[in-house]
Amino acid sequence: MINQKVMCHDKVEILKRNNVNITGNGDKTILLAHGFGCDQNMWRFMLPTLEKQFKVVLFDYVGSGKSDLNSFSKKKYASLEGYAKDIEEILVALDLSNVSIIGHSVSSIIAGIASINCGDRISDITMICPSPCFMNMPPNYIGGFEREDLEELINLMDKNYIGWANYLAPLVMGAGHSPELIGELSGSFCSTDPIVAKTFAIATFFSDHRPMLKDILKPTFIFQCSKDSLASPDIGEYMVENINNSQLAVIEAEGHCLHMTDPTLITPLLIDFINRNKV
Amino acid sequence: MDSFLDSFYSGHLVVNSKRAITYSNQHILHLLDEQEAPSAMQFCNMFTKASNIFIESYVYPLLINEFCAEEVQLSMITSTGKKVPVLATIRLDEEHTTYWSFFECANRDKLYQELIETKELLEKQSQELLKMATIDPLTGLLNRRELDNQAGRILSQAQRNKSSVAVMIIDIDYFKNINDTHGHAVGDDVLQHLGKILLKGHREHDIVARFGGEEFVLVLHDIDDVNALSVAEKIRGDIETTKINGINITVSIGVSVNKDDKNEFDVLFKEADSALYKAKNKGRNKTILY
Repeated sequence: MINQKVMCHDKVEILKRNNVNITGNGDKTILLAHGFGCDQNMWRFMLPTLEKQFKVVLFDYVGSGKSDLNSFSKKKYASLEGYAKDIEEILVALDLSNVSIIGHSVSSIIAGIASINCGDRISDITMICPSPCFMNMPPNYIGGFEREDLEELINLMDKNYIGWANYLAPLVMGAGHSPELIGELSGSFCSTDPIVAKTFAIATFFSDHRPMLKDILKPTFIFQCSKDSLASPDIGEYMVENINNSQLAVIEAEGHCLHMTDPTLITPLLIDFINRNKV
Repeated sequence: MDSFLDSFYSGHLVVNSKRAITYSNQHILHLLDEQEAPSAMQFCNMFTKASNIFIESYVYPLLINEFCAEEVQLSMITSTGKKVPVLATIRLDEEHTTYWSFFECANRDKLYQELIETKELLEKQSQELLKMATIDPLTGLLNRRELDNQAGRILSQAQRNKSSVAVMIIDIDYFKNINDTHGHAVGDDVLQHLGKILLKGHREHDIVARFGGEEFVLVLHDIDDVNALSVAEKIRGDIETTKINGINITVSIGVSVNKDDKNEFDVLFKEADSALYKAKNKGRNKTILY
């Protein structure tokens, strides 16, 4: 009896903590996991199509978007396993099973970790512009970046953090507000904690999750851009070679945010993939 | 029009949705230390790799969301590999063409670097100060001030949970003799060693503090009279049977456990102190519960 009470309390806490939003209709549930630097609003270009046929679960990792900043723990979120725990806890709190996860960039790897820890609840994974390791590991692996590049990134984040506050403001406000109102609020978000963003950056760019790929057993669909300065098509090849049950689609496009720049190119493909894996 | 734009001492660049550079003014060449037109260059090659991550993770999502990004600090890289800090303001149109304005910002960059370093230094210093303000330097245990702080917290928590708390004062018997006979260095060794013995058995939220001189205080949460007494007896016994620097020492311990109606640390401390006084009077090397 007491246990049940605790569960209910935890459930509400977790949904609030990760700003979980559920939308759309369908007997199949999909969960959209945003990448580094973004929050759940980044899915809004794909969302209208997806919510027509799926129940869609959206959330923000602790420290991003409208999540509860008080729940941030430097220790938990210093590694991607901590972020995977967020996903696992959301799936348990909503008591979901047979869920398709769509992850952008680092969230592809986070979804992979969650699928290993919480396999009975996840049916398949769609990865958008993933990389298991951003660092060069010569002679066999070229992630694209040297340690110094990534250290410079942390420094650059420090020098720009007031700018991010402006970036976060409209996301916190939600869409549909007038630009004037957003402009008005931008200034007041300057206290946005740079520690959180830096912790996520370090977890994302300084980690090496290549050894974990072989443990991903769920069907996996990988989207890669033909021109992406963060994750080259070679990395897509590496992913598909190392994940057993996976397929790769290289999309003729530029950049690292296919879900925002080219939603019409990838949405039909990923819907098809999800439906094929439907039990 | 073009010639006017070439007269500006700021860089201007138009990049289409395919990330191809469709226009650049003269100053861009100056920034990049380049001779040929940047249209032949890759957009991403104009920046350091760190800047590219930043552009992909923050700038483009921001542009797609809001159509403009202001005061973004980036680092360009010249044909000779030199890094040039620039401040960019960027606009995006409906076709996903982007319009970039760049201003060199070496001084601002220097200032920000100094700010970051000052911030890091202050954080480090404040951590050191916090340590100095809360830790006894000889034993590494909490000092008297921090004991007062944390004990109050444990007691109010115990009140909420309706659990009891024990306060123990542990005093080394005839410590003055040790100092007089063996010197202060050995006396310090004894204090450090005793600190280690006290730390060994403590649970995560218990307090182990050096109150001053040869007096130590333990505050144990969620414990009743009987258990508090047996913990104290174990400590007393352990110390009695351990030789420190070849010296046998003993301690006297006064223990007090709170009842529902009294949750002041001062009160508990006074009770434990009076129990300690009794232990000393009864011949030392004893544990007395108030």
